[in-house]
Amino acid sequence: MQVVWHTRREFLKGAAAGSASFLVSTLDFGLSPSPRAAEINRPGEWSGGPGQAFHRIDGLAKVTGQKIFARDFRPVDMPDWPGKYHHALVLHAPFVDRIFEGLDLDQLPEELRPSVVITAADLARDNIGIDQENYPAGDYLAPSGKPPSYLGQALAILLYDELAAYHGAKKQILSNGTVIRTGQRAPLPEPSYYKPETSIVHGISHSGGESFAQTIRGTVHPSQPGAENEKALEIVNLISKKLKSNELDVYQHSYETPISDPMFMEPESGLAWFDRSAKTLRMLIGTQSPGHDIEAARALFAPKACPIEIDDVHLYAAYPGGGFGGRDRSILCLFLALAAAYSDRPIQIARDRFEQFQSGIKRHSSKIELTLGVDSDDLIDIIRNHTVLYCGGRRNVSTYVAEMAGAMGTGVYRASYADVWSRAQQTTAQVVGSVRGFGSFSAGFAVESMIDEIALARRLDPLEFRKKNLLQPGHSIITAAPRTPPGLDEICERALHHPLWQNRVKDQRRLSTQHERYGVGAAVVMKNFGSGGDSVMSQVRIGPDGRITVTTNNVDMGQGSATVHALAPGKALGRNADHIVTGQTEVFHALKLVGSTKMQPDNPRWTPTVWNSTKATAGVGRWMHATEEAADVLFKAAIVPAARAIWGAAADKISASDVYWSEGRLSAPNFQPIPFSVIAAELYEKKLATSAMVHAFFSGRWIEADYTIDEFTDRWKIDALAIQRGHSPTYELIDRKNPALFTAESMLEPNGQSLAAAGAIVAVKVDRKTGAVRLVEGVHLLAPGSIVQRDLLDGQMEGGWAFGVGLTLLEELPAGANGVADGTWNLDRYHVALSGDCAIHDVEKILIPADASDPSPRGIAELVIVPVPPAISNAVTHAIGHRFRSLPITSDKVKAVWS
Amino acid sequence: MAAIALNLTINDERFSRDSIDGDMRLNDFLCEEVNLTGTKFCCGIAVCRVCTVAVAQAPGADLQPIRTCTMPLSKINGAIITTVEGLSKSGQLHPLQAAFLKHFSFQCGYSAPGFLMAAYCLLDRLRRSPIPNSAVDAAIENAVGKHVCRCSGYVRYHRAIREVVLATPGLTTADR
Repeated sequence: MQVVWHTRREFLKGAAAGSASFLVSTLDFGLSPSPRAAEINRPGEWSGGPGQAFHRIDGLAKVTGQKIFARDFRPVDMPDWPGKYHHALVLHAPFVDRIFEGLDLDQLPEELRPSVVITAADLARDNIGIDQENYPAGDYLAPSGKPPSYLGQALAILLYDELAAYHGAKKQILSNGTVIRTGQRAPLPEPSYYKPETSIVHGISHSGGESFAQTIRGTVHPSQPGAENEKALEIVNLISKKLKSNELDVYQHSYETPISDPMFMEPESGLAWFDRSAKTLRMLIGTQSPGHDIEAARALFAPKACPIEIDDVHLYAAYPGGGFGGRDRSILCLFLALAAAYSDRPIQIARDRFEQFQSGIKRHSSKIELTLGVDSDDLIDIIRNHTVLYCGGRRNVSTYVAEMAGAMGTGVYRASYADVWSRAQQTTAQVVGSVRGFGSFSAGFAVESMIDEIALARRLDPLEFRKKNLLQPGHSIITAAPRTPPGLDEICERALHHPLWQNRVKDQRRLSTQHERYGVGAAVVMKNFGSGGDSVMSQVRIGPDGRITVTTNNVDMGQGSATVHALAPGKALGRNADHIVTGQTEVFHALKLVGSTKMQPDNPRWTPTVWNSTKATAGVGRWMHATEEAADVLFKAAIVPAARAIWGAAADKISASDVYWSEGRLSAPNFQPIPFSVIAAELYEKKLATSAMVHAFFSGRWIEADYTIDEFTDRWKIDALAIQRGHSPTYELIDRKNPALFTAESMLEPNGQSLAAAGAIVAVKVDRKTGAVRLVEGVHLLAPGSIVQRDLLDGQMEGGWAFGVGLTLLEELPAGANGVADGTWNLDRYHVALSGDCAIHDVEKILIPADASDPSPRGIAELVIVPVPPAISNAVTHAIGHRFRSLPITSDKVKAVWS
Repeated sequence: MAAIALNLTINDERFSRDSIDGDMRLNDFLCEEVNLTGTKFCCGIAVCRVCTVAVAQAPGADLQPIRTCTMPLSKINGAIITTVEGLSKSGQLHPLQAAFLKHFSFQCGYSAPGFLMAAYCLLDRLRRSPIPNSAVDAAIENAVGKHVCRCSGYVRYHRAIREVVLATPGLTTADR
């Protein structure tokens, strides 16, 4: 998404050039939303000097109500699209226990009948394909004659010419339960598990080293044959034996977290148009996974027997109105593509909130069985964690979420032995996905509740108990990867000595009344950021006027990545970007990458994976690196040579290390500073590199290689590079030399995960009469590494705090057929945190300074919610003496146990 | 469906229709009929308040925050409406807009127009009935406390509104 103040002509020019970028113009875009908005056209005001922002780069558009979200656009706003369009109504299954027998649209009054009906029979007839990689299992529309596979599965797409008919039909179909015809009852499928399951066995050998762990000899599966598995099974059996002996105090409890809705504010929407003359499918969507969406849309029409000929798919990436994982591989993109393919005009899908609750991606519910063995010195000897995540009717990313729930299954503690088993169970519930917290949310709640519980049982200060068992700097986590996050020990220490914690007993006496009890709880957690195998792409381009444009496939769903990318060139180029284009994938085809988990060492285009979906945690920690490297390429390989040319023969020996930026000018001792615009002109004059496009891959470290441009060679932490010279539209591929690559196996060795640490202390008051839990004060602790923009970081912490409050106390969603799938759920029943719930004026932030040995910025946008639920739950226990092992802790639940 | 003749003033412009469905929601009219999509749609049942606009029944009358997602045109005919697109004047951001930017109040930004318009109504109310400085936080909570934002945690919305309230002459009085 480019947030610039282009004219419509510029927009059209970009589109005609085949750019798949989405240029948002505030001027004359469509029907001229507001003449006054056009006057507020102040590019660059956001920028606060190199590496700093006065406000978000996308802020002005958002604060003046300009078109920026997918829901804002109509076909008339799109360049060269026909103005007339269909309103597409996707019907979803509210049942799975009966046969679906098709639709009886004759029940609708004639004026409410659709122009076009798309069903599974149409898809079968036309041999519509299945994207096995991204959207497996097919049946994108449930076929009649059998029960739907899962609640919320799409049944049909109805296309309406008029908005009024669309609204009327939706209302009638919802109120008249017989338009969707059902037949005989059908048995529910037997529970099964998506593969692979996650099993991590960890044990200390006689020599004191790790004997088994995920990263030593690969993943182990104690239940399966094989020498390593048998050794792992020995550890598992030893753990069982020790737990049955009298040598340890054994604690065993079960914890549950519920299904929940990401509840991003903009219900999913999008536009699509199948331009038959160009055999091109164009889609506008707010998505976290533009690359996956394009591939999936292509796959629909790829089979040779499919009569719908689509040569190309263009995706216009709008800013998502919130994401939280709910727009990561959402199936909405497929419905847009299918509806457009069967329509003679553009189509719009604009879900309302009822539909979003009924069919949108949800968070996994979970059950965690924890068993801990603690020795007489209060040291944790054994952690056994058996987790089941309930994963809905399509696999989606569930096995990865289960993997992370396992990796975080022993919390921030060291133990001599661990047996973690995490499984993703297929259910008939809605599709679940990579919702904020990604496995760590459930593991964090369970482990941090359990630790509190054990400490209280042993009459220990819960934070002292944590401190005693905490992973220390340099320690390996359960997978044997040396990834203990910087600042973890300091977070625990700071929390332990914080007055809110130290005074909790005294304050409880002081602040509790007959009607209200005061309590304080704490939690310390860690979470991975990135995915363990992160692919990032960025292009930095310097225009002839010196304006800098950054293009990336990263998406800004509110976490601030657009601004971060715009700040990233500041370090190398002495100024921030002027334009930022997010959600781009197609332009990066210029790198001609081949993605494969099988290593191709002699192929300079090979990379383990070409792209990832946007994760909020991967912005500063991962994606920003690509932009910084691209800017550095331009600086060293083009700007410095340009400066030498301008300065003349006396500057022949000047290198990158001799020059510096001062007030936007490139300076060197004894030479006249050169304005950036002059350097830019020189780049074009001399046909030096004016754009650098890079791909980088991280798994514990970045792939790095040597690259040579115009006889200048340097080593960058990227695995692919292409440049453009001057005005040339052609990309020149620069082959990497001497690369330090990964194999699929070697990616496991250091374990590619990076982790960050956080903590929380929460003070609550619990009302005896109503059961309501009210936050009164809090402390949010975080070790963020280097801080790119403090305002963005603080905003993530504040938002994460509120998100955690909602998940802990308010958000309750029945999962079955009588629950959210019935199409009647909305915000009157599903309550998210409001300002009054979050003690917004009374939450202190404590940031641990960056660790000198690893000052890199940490991805924290998901992490910051994780300590909040257990801290609140532990505070409630402190207040009323009852332990809740299942979320949410609603007032009804409190009333039921404490009155 | 009952057709009505519609006259609305939106952001100082007159919009009239000889015949339009009086049951049409104001949100649909703004987004579909006059392409003012700055007013957002979220819950559609008047709970989350992202769709709030400022409405006066007559020139100079009190500004009321109105939730457009459930407001039928028939009930608002003749009103004077300000949407987020109409907040800025003469190329200058409204102080609330500037403060929202300065304080990084929003993240995804989808809720921002609703917060802006509710706060705009609060300023109008305080202009007519100033309050003590010590009552400002409560007044802000009263004005925007039921607005849903999933990203921001609310802190920076409140901070920005507070700054504008305290910096605008005549809205508050010294505490006694």
